[in-house]
Amino acid sequence: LEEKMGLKDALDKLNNAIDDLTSLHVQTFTGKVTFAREGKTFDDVRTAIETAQGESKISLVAESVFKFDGDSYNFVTSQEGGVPSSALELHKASIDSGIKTRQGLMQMVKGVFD
Amino acid sequence: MPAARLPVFDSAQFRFPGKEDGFNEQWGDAYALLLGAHSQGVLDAPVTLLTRGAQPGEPGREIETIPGVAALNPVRFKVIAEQLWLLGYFENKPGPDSTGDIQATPEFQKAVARFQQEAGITIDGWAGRQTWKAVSALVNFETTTEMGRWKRRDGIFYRAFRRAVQLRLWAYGLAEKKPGPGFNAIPSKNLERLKKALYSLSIIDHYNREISRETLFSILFDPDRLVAAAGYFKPVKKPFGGSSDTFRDKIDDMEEHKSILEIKRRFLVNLAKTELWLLGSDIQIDGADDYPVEGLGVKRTGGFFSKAATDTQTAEYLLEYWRKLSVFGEMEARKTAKSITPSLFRSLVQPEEINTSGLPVFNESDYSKELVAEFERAPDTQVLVARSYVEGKGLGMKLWDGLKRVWAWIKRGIKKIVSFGKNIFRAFYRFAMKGFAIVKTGFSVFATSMDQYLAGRLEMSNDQAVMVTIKRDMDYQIWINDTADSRDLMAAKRSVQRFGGMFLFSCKIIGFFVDVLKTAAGGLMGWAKLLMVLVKSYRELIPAYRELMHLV
Repeated sequence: LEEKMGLKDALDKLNNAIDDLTSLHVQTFTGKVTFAREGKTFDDVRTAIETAQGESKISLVAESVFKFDGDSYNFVTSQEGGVPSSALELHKASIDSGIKTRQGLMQMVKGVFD
Repeated sequence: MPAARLPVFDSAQFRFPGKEDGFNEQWGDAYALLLGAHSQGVLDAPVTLLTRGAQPGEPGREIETIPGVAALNPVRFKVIAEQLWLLGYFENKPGPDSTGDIQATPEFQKAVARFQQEAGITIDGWAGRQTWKAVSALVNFETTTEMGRWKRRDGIFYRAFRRAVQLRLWAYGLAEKKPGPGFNAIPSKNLERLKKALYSLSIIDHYNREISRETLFSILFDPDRLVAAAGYFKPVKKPFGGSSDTFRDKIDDMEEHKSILEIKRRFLVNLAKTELWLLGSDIQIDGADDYPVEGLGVKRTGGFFSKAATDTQTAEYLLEYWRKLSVFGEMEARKTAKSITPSLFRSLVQPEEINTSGLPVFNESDYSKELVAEFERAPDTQVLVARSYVEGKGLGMKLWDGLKRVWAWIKRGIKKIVSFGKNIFRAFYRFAMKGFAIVKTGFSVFATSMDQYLAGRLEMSNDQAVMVTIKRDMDYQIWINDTADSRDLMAAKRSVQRFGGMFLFSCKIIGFFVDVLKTAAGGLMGWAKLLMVLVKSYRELIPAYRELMHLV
């Protein structure tokens, strides 16, 4: 438990992020990206994605922005037959998940920082 | 009476993440209290899963384990040691002062290994979840014991199970002694007694013909059935009604009649004692035939209705039972408590028979609130909480056994069951234990979510096909490779949903716990404060916990 509760770094980071949680931004990309299976770190992933972006191997197919003042923006590509429905479902689930993380933080902040 | 004292809580030994870390003092208090409670084994969490719509301890509900909250702690080791002694794996009963440290002794590990060998489970000498479950299934009265599980491939029952049969026969007064270290087989005379006892209660039709052991044992391990049958017991039929035609036959019939009558009475006395124990009394389960049973007036040493009999613990708790748990006045309670009657067993099955009927259905988590109110009304809440802690720790097996019975009463709105025996302390301690398990789970799940947040991406079953990255401000980017198919996308969707749900519900648990800790501790200090907060927040924690359990 102690190890699991050794959350200080994460919470510090989260604490600093709270200011940025006034909007939710979800983007869905499709294309050709290859991630090395071994020795893969997040930076490796990021590099692979950036490389793919640079080579125009991937494209933005859906994007949603929600601001908590009520503004929102949604985009879904219409190119090449649009986006598969299961990909759109994943996009929507991510929006829902993003809302839940914000709700969760609000609940915790209510208890912890009141 | 044990001293009502909690272990010392020294906040200085824990590091408080305070304001300098970006957190306020309330967070620090909660964090330190929980860590301290965990490291000092203040509360053992019952590892039960609250399935949707289920109430813990509710009859008919399967008690399962929570993934990730598996560690058994001191209370459990102590209980396992006592259970292993009951089954005969220890020569001597573990002392009342024994602690969880017993797990580290070679004697304990040897006993566990022997049990594992005789129960057909992995032999490692470690009393983990599998062993705990197996011992409970054999020793606890309220845990379902599946006969098939305890049969070897050759059709013979495992020795651990045979020990459990002997133990139960002893508890019900049908065997002279409980199994000892050298136990091997159940003496056939004990099984004959069992058959006669079941016959005398009309559970089986005959006792002098072959009945499969499996049938006999399945009845023996079904206390609800035994109690229900005992609710209609009658004196044994007079002899001479059969086909006997010689004087010798008549004498034999008479002897047989007396033998059955004696067995029946002994069985009913001990069935009553067992039920009173399960309901929360301190009565000793000892197999002794030491109390009058209505209509079964065979004289015993000390005589029927003798002073010796009414001086027993059975007399004390029967009187308390009728006084506190019925609508009877004092005179009627005293009169009814003078012997064990069919109405006692019927009332155990249907408490409404002796109580006001038409009471509102009662909910377990609502009850935690009432219990808190009762504690807060007490002149010295701190002392009452501390006593609950001490008494709760001393309950041993009763922390897990008998709860279905108590809960069945509470569910019927007969809350006064809590005033019986030490149930009030048992209830408070249990709520605190469960609250502790929930909050610990909340922190653990939150930490797991944080691992993903810090890694910057969510865990995926096939991250070659779909990758979901999470930014510092919790925005998502989804990367779908050309190789991904619909199954990959569905799996990714489930991972994203799971992450959001786990994060939300664990945050809810932590937030609520901290909020109550901060605002509603009612001037309590140290561990008493933690215990009260856990019980106080129990009702509100349950919904978030149930949601969480669907995700982990």
